[in-house]
This record gives sequence, C-alpha cells and structure tokens, in this order.
Amino acid sequence: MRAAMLAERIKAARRHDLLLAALTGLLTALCAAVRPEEDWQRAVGYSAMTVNVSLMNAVVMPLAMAALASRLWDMEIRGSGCRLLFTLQSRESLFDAKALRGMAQNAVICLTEGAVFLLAGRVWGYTQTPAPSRALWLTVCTFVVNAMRFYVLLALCVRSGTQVLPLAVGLACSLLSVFTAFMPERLALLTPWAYDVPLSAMRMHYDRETRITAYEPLAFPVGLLAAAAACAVLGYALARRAVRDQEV
Amino acid sequence: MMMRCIRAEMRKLRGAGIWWVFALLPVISAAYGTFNFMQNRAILTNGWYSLFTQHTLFYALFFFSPMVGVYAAYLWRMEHIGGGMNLLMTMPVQPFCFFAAKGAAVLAVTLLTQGWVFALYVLCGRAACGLAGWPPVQIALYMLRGLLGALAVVALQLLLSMVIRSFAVPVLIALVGGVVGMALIAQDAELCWPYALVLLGMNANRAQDQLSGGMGAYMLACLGFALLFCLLAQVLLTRRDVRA
Repeated sequence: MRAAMLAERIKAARRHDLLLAALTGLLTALCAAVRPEEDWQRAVGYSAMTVNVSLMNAVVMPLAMAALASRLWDMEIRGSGCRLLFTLQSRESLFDAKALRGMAQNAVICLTEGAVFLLAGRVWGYTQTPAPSRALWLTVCTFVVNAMRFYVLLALCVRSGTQVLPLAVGLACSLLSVFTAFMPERLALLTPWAYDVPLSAMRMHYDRETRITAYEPLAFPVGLLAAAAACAVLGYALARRAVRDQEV
Repeated sequence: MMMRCIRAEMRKLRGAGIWWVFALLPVISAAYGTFNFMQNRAILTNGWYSLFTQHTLFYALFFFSPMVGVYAAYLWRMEHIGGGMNLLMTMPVQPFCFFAAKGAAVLAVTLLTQGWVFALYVLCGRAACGLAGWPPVQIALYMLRGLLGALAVVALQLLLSMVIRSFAVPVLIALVGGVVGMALIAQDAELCWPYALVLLGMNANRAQDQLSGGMGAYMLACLGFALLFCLLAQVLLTRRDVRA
C-alpha cells in the first residue's frame, strides 16, 4: 500500500492537486461569506454564512469533485495506462491509493472552508457568537457529501474511459442542485448530490415587506448524515468494483 | 489553410461526447426556469421578459462558461495526448491558425447552444407557460449580445485549455470564474471580469436593459478581452518549441 501511495504521489508531481483543492474551498467560501452592511446582518452573520456555504457547495462541488476524480484517473486514461499498471500492482492497491488521495483533497477543501467560516466573522465583524459545533458539522457534512460525489464520479470515469462524461454529469448535477436547493425538503431528499442544503441544519425565512432575513437553527439531521455516509460507502464499493472489473 | 484547419477541428466534433453536454444542460436550465416562472407568476409580471430572466439567470451565471470550457478542452485534448502538440508544432501551418480554428469551432458550437437555448425558451413560453404571441425582438438581440460576451470566454477557455494539459481543470476554473463573477456583479464590476460578460450581455438578471447607453463599454470589454487572450496565445505558441 505504501508503494501504491508513493506511485500516486509521483504521478501527482507538478499537478498541484492540493493547491487546486485549497483554492476551490477558499473561493467557494469567500463567495458565500456575508459582508454585512447593517447591524442586523452582523447579528446573523454566521447563520447566513451556513446557509450560503451549503448552497454554494451544492452548486460548485459536484463539478469540483468530477474535476478531481477525472484528474486522478487522467494518467490511466491517457495512453491506456491501465494495461501496464494492472500488471505491476494489484488493482485494489491502485484504487485504494487513489481513494486516499482523493479524500486528502476533499479534506483540504472542507478544512479550508471551515477555516474561512470561522475567520469571516473576525474579518467582517459579525456580532453573532460563533458556534464551533456548527462549523464542525458543516465541515463533516461537506466531507461526507463530497466523498459520495467523488466515488460515484470516479466509478463513472473508470467505466466510461473518458473524461467528458463524468464532467458532463458533474455539470448537470451542479445545475440540478440549484433546482433542488429551492424545492420542498422532502423532494430535495431525492437528490443525494445536493444533500448539503438539507444537511445545513439552518432554515432561512425572508420577510418581503421588511426585507429582513431571519435564520432558524435546526437540530443536526444525524439520520440524513448517516444516509449520506451510506451512499458514500456505496459509491466507494461501486468505484472499487469498476476498477476490479476493468478490462485491459 | 485556415479553412482546412477549421474543417479539421469540425471533424473532431463529429460523434463527440460534448453533444450530450450541448443537448442536456440547456434543457435542465429551461425546465428550472419554466418551473420557477410558473411558481412565481404573481411577482413575475413582465411576460416574455420575466420568463427570459428565469431561463437564463443560472445558465449565464454558472453554466455557460463551464460548457464552453468543455468544448474548448475537448478540442485541445487530442493535442495533449500522445505527442499531438509536437505534431502541431511541426506542421507547415502557423500554430496560431490552430488556435483560431479551434476558436471558430467553439464559437460555432456556442452559437448553436445559444440557438438551442432560445428555441427552448420559445417552446416553454408558448407550450408550458401559455404566453401569448412571440417573444420581443429585443430578446433575440440579448442572445446575440451574449454571444459577443462569449467571445471573451471562448478565447480565455481556449487559452487555459492550451496551457493546462488537464481536461478538467479549465472547466473547474470556468465554474469558479462564474461564481466569482456573481460576487463582482453585486459590486457593479462586471466589465472587469470576462466570465461576467455573458450575463451582462444577455441581461439575465434585470428587467430593465442594463446596457442602455453602455453598449460601447461592453463591446470594448468583450473585444478587448478576446484580443488580449488571443495575443497571449499567439505569444505562447510562437515561443513554444518541439519537446522531444
């Protein structure tokens, strides 16, 4: 396994995947950050950011995960590298090394977002008390949902042998996420790739007359997180099987 | 020679996977826009104009640039695999001709995409939303203005796909560019960011024409960005050499 990890590290040389992951997390969180202009906005800064980050994740992350998955499988697609690789190392070790690397990139995205979430209040002067438990929940949920997207899209990369299809699916999921983010909660449960929104545990109420937005913290939906984790495990099994059954 | 290059690029598009992207994404965007329009008819009272904003807001903001990114990355893909770039550098054609030919091919697909979006818009307006008559001519002009904004995005995506060997990264950059564009639009700095120009040109987020009186600056921004990226590509391709 150590040798497989080393091989993946060599393949990733000059690819700057971790930097790309950090930049994706940073830009997504910065675009979701609330820059308050009025006192009431400062008073709900963290709550507003929770909703915004979840929504941005639902839109950006399907494509971001497709990009990361397709980059990880890039060398195997170019020049039909699988034939050579599968004779040099076990398919399982190749896949596990890729899965670990993918999760490392996912962790970088989530930790960057979590850090921006906590720092935003200091930079923009939120008066709301930060809730580390909410930041931790957001980070964990983003990690689990991203893992689900990543493995399913990696399976698609391996099965299709092309990079256009996973990216097209990622793009379509991103677009559909915009759709599902504003659907009734029960319907949104039918679209697991956009679980960031129901998992955010924060509800937004907008008053059209006063133009003030209120936020209602909800209990953490642990059951839904467990369902997302189960989908991630299923995605992992699908991707692993795709590599195992790959014909060369 | 240029025409031959364009024909070669067009040939690459035959039976390509990008046609799925071309067909599917505008349909999702149209379905979402129509659904949203039907749900909010009490507020959206501007008829064809309101439907247009619903159809094109997210399309222009988030998804137009990644779509163009997929088209551009697909056309550079062959050059990045198996020494294709060396082959390109040793052909008796100016390397920039290839860039321009790819630009023409991507623009042609982009034009088709805009046409497909417009066709879906008219179809949904008449069949699903029951809007009377035909859309105003101004909407067709908005679509054409969007195409002008697309010049900058096409040139930038071709440049990124030429420099970055990965297929996926330029597409991701396009999506992040769209997200950053959203933040810049909120600060009225759209003209400084190529990824925000399509939204501005298509007038996808306002009922009133945002470019009334400002068309000159918009055209200057679109053509300026396009020219800048083409020049950069020309410089990079001229300096590039065969890698043995």
